Amino acid sequence: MALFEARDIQIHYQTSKGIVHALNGISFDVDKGEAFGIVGESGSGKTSLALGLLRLLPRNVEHYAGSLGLGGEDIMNLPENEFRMKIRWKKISMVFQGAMNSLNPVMRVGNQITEPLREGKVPKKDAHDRAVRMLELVGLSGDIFARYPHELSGGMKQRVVIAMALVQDPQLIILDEPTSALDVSIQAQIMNLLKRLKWEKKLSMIFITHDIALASDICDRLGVIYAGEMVETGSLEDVLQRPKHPYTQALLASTPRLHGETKPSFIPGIPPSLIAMPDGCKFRERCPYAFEPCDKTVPVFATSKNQKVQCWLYGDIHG
Amino acid sequence: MTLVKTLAMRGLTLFGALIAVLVLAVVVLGATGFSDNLLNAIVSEELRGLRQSLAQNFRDPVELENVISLRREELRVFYGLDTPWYFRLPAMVLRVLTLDLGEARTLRSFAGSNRVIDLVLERLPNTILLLTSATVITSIIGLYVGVKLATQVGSKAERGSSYLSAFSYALPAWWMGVLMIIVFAFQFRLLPSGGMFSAPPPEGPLARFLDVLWHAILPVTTLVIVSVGSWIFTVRTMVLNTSQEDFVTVARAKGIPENKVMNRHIIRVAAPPIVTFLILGFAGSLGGAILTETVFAWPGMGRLFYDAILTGEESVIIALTFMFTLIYVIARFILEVLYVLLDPRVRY
Amino acid sequence: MSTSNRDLAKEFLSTGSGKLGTALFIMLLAISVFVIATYPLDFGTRIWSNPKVWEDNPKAVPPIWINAFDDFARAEHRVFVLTEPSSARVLGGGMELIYSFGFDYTADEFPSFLSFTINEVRYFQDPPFVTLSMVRPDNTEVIIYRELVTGPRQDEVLPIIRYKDSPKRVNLGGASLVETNVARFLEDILMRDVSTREVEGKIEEILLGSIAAGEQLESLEVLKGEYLMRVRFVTFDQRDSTEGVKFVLGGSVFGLMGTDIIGRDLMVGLLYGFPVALGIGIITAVLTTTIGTIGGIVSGYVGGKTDTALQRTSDILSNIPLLPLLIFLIFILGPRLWLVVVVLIIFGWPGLTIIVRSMVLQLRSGQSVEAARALGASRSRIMSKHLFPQIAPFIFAQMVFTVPGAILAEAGLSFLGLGDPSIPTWGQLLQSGFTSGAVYIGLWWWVLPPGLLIVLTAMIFVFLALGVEPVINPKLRRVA
Ligand SMILES: Nc1ncnc2c1ncn2[C@@H]1O[C@H](COP(=O)(O)OP(=O)(O)O)[C@@H](O)[C@H]1O
Ligand SMILES: [Mg+2]
Repeated sequence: MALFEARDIQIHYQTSKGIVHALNGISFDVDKGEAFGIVGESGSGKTSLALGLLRLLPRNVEHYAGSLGLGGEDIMNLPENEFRMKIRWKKISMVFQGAMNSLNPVMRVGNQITEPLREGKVPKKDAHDRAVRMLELVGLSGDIFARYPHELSGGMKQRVVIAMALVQDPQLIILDEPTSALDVSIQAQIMNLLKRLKWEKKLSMIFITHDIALASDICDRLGVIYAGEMVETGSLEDVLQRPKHPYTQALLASTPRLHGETKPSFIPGIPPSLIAMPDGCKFRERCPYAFEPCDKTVPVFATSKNQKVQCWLYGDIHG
Repeated sequence: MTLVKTLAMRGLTLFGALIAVLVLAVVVLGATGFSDNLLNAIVSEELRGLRQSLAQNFRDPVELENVISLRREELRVFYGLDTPWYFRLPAMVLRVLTLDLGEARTLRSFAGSNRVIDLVLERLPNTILLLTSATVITSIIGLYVGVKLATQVGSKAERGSSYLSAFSYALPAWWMGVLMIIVFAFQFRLLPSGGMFSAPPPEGPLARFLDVLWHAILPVTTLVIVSVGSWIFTVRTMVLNTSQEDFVTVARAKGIPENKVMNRHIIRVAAPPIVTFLILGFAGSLGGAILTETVFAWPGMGRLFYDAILTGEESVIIALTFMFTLIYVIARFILEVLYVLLDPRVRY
Repeated sequence: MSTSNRDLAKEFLSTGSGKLGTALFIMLLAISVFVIATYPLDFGTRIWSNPKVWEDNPKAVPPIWINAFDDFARAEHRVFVLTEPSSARVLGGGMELIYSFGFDYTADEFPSFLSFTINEVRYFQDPPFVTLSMVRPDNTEVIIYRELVTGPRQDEVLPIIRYKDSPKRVNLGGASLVETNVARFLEDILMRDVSTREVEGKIEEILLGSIAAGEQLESLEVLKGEYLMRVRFVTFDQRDSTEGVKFVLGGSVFGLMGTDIIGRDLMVGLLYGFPVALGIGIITAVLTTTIGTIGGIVSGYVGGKTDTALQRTSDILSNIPLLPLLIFLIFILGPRLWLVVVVLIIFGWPGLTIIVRSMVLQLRSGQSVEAARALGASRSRIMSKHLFPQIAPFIFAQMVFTVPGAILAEAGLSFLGLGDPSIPTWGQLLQSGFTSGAVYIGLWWWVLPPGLLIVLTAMIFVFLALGVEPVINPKLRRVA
């Protein structure tokens, strides 16, 4: 049984221009000790999904549905207070997109790390010691504890944020573009840290990125998200070597490879407006293989034991 | 070290502002001939006294005139009247800076002194009392309501707050004061129309305190009414802006209860700009006090300013211009210090 | 750039406060244009501050429309100006000119005063003789007043002109000749001796009261009905002439806005306040923002010593409390409106300069500026064509927001008695109301409207600024 299950997650936002259909039924599992990568272009709904998993919804959410399970327990229907006290940070923690803004500028970073512990009545001394250990775990010196965020570099802040996410030994950690705001060299350091943590601490993680190459560096399985839908999931190898969905194929083709012969290509067209979304495949306007069933709602087809794809091209395999 | 330097820099700028006001005042006084007239008046006054005391001793009027004109020349040199006004400039600036503010012609302090410094110092606490109580009440209401509104984005009250703030900004305290007097002092006869004490003032410290409170109700309420609207709006906007920051969502993700998220991650972070607004509001109301105190006949520096305008007391007007600037500058310096304490980002 | 600014304008007009603000602003502008077109340039000195102009108005009375709020009909103010005689005939060697007119008196109270004015008279021989008489609704006739025009002085050349620059005005209630005449009239009706002491201060009541034999003079009723007035000029030369007469029934209500303590029509003063307030606000705002913007762009883009100098100056100037210094300067240099505007500008621009500078610092490394520099555009061109357009909407909002500040500052100064006496403003109206004690005796029509207009005008601009703000500040837009 999977450690974490998300089923048919839907999130719609209310805006002055109309209703934004940010997520339109996303399902996936994460096993224990596994790193599940979620890959998609900017605006495809990755951050919305991450926040949705923690049931942290912006004020203007109009619709939020689906089910969430953790260790077999339904956590979608837990009362808010119980969810806050039992699940958030204790069982599922998160590294937010943009470490620059994830830290309170007027609070010492150590206190920000210990804050959830102190909330759980851990004595001050113990909390402090644990925070220092966490800082050391992510490769920082313990005297960072008394610093303010503005005194740290971007890479240091990112490490602090990771230490903060690990402080309660969560079962699952969501990383939303943990390296996107950093320089390339720092990016590599952080990736190495994450890989080490995954290995040493047997961390289960959801790794969110727009960079499929980065995801392939750490993930065991991948999910590809497009316009709020999970168009393909599968093992790392399946998705990279045998991409099924035309979007995944295009995405891979547009990624530069170190040893590749082919030049990266751009995906023609633009993503659809999330307001007034048509039925059927969201990618069909840009898809070179589009054919007539594409304007009907697409079910998920399993192309192998581990690989699932949401595309009518594979309709006959199943049917 | 750099912290000290930052503060020193700000202090220097503020001192510069003080000097700029003084120099401007002295230049204007000098160039318009006001200062010559002022000093000439002092000289004639002294000579009149001298003539009276010497009149007994000198029989010969010619000799008397000689002595007097000698003394006049001495005095003219002493006050620098023998040189153009701009040579006296540094000395004048220095005199005011050392609070040597001269004497008033007709205005007297409650204790009867005609020294301007006595006049001003006696009124200073009354002004501070009025302004601080109004500021404290306003900020408590503003913080409470503003934070409340920020948690109710989109509600009628929240959307109406911008209109309230517009109204409050456009409403001059003095006019509001006039209205309050008409309604509460003359229509309903509920509260005194002005002053700080009843005549005669009641006996005993407690009774006197209550009497001042009684007289302060109208002016303080007026000041609160005209400023609370923009306060609420400012607090609302700053809290809203902060509450959209990522670290607030992070705090929620950490499972921190909502009231602590509000206090520790929103209000605490919004505090530096809010405190700025608070102190600037207080400093701004300092000038407004001239008008408010005038309307309510509140015996503070503002009312003294008005009385000095009516009686044309230049020395008092100069002294008060300086004092208002001084207090303003001090308030701004306190702001700088508070800011440094509240926001680690400027604590380099 | 221009199209995107047009979009901003459209968005601005779609907000509630933007719409309201614009509509009210157009109204302000229309009233101001009307006033500028119809008022003389020297309105302040020649009309407003000249008590002669307001002589025939009732003093400190409320507006007419308060009559609508109760059953009591207060006396309205009525003025009869006659320039042409109703009849003229030759009488002896001269002429008899008759000016007659009538009125229907329906008020429940007596007029507050009666005044009679003889305008320019010219005569060639002996001075003409003027008589004012009245036929009352009860058909009794009263000779109220007689006047022999002042005779010629020695060596005066003919024709002799009298009452030209200062017409002869008689307050009938206070003239002893009238008292004598009225006493005689009473004697006829009451059939007893009446002394002038008895009628003193009661002229209006007796002339317009119902009087019968045996009546007490203490509590007279108003005699309602048609009154006929007659002014008779008797001249001694046929060439003699006059410009006519004026008769005033003083009301206890006046005009749409009432009058102040010297009888000034407050409506006239309030209207005049519109262009003045608008002028102060807009001139100050435009100049302040222009200087502030130029200062900020130059400081931010040119940098170096210029920057340091500008920043130090702005730092110091923006740390000076404005009102006390303004009071000081106006007190010493004299109450002149232009001076107020100049001081407001001098202490207003630095704040904007500091903000604009920080915006420019962010923009100067931006793409469009870099590109322009690479193409060899001159400094001034980059500043005016590349930097300015990007901050223009913000500057506009700042400009709008400066207007109410200037209007309120002038009003405050005027309220302290430091207003420019040659240009009446709403603040000055309030000040005269405050110092003359109107506040304390409940003359609300004197203190409420000017204050309300100040608040309203200032608020219109705050609304406009509020409407502009979310348009240029997307962060706020998401909140709102
Ligand atoms: N609070 C919100 N209100 C309205 N629209 C939103 C909100 N948050 C995100 N969106 C929209 O939802 C879509 C998905 O956004 P997001 O989840 O941030 O995508 P990603 O993280 O993949 O870049 C985008 O079109 C974005 O504009
Ligand atoms: Mg994102």
